[in-house]
Amino acid sequence: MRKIAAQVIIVLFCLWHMFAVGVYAIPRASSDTLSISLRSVLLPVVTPYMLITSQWQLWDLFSPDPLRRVDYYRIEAYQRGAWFPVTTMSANDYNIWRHPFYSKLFVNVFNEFDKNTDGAKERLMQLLVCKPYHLPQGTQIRLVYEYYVVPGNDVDWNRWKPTFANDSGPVTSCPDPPDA
Amino acid sequence: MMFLRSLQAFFFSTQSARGFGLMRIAWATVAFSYFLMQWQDIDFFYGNDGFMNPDLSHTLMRSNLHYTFLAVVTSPHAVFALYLLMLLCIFATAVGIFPRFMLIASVLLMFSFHERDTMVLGGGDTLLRNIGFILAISPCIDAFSLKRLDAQHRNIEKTGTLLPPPTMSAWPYRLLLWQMIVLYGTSFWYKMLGTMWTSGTAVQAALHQPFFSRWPDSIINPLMPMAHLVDWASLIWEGLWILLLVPRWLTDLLPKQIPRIPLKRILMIFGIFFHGSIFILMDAGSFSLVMFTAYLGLIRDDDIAWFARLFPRVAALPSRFIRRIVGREMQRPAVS
Repeated sequence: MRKIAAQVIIVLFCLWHMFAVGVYAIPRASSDTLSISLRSVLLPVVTPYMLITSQWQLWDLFSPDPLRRVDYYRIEAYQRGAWFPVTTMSANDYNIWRHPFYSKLFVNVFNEFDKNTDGAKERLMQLLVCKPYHLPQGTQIRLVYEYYVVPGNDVDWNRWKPTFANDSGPVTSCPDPPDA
Repeated sequence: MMFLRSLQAFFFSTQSARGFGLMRIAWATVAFSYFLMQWQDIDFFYGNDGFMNPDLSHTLMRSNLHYTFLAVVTSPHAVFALYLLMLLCIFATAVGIFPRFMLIASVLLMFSFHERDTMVLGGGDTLLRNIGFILAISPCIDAFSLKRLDAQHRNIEKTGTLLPPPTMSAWPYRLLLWQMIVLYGTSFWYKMLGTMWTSGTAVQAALHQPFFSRWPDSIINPLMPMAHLVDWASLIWEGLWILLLVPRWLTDLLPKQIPRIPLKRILMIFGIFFHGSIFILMDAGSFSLVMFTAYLGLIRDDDIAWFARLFPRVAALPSRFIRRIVGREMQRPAVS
């Protein structure tokens, strides 16, 4: 009897887990009526379980389309009445061991343009340049995106050359030494 | 009644635990390697003085149902000590010292670090957590562990025979297979929402992203004539994983003249080429290696028998290893 009870509990747990994983992974970008209905009704049911067990997941790797924008991050400091470049950085400045983590960090913080409006970009800029480049407290710094876009259509790749453009990012200043 | 019996067989039929033993080792090896790579950035990523300071953590991370040991362990030295403890637990998990306890400790610590700063995580990290969870609740993870080696040694001394092969119920395998079907199925779904995968240009664009590509354009460009084919082939292959949901009784209804194909093995072999190519050509974090890890857990007795028929010498290596250790051929009792 105890064995049957254990088996019933395991089966119920497996069915619940499979259901929760399946529902939570429904693409957020999917805008058909069924997906929207499923997400609105079922996501609130499964989300607490997925978050508590740290099983949250969305499998949008290289999709819906691969990332085509290639950014180099130029950080400039305002000194003696003019902006001058302190450094230009990208994930490729880091060795093979650190590269995967910095490439995620840079894209997640600097390139999620509609998110991270609460000082994340500024915080990362400060950490990357203020102390490493010995900038005095209060020095104004700003982010400039030097970027190009990889073609999304068929091109002759042997002839293709990137065309760079610039975008302005946030402006902040170097904080008190203990935080920098 | 028939349905209940089928349900019981589906979740509780006995299968070899060797796949999950191998998966435990691979999971711990990949996790150990990728956490070790963060050695010099632990404070930067996870400490209060690093990027994710308390203010930012409150705005960037979710506020509810968010659990991490690093919410209370905040000083740089304490965070690093916890990191060292995690590495130790993961190493013990890999070699199989107190495997159950060490695995659960590793999983909880890994979850804590991942939940502390999600900005540095990729798909490989997510799958590491998914596999870690399934391993932690699986009934048997001892295969290929020092714990089992010790038990094997004692059993040989006592009875002169080997222990029965390690076995477990099928339900952890079902959870893992479902996880993989969801992963590939929703990945296929996501790709169909864009335009580049269906037009065949996604692979070429991804390979020309200098932050992903490991190789210069002079090496990548000659591969471009194959890019469309690879693009569509990988799309079809991901979609085909959904067919693993078709139950056996349904395929049994097909006429006998239609040949049965070992779909899971074919998909996994293609997956080895697919993820192997990604690993060689691109730096996509730990994703390819974690996918291989999951494949190990999908190996069942019939897969091992199929492999042994194809490569008998390789399949005989474990018994040759034991013979070398104990100096004679050992008899293995049948599974009870």
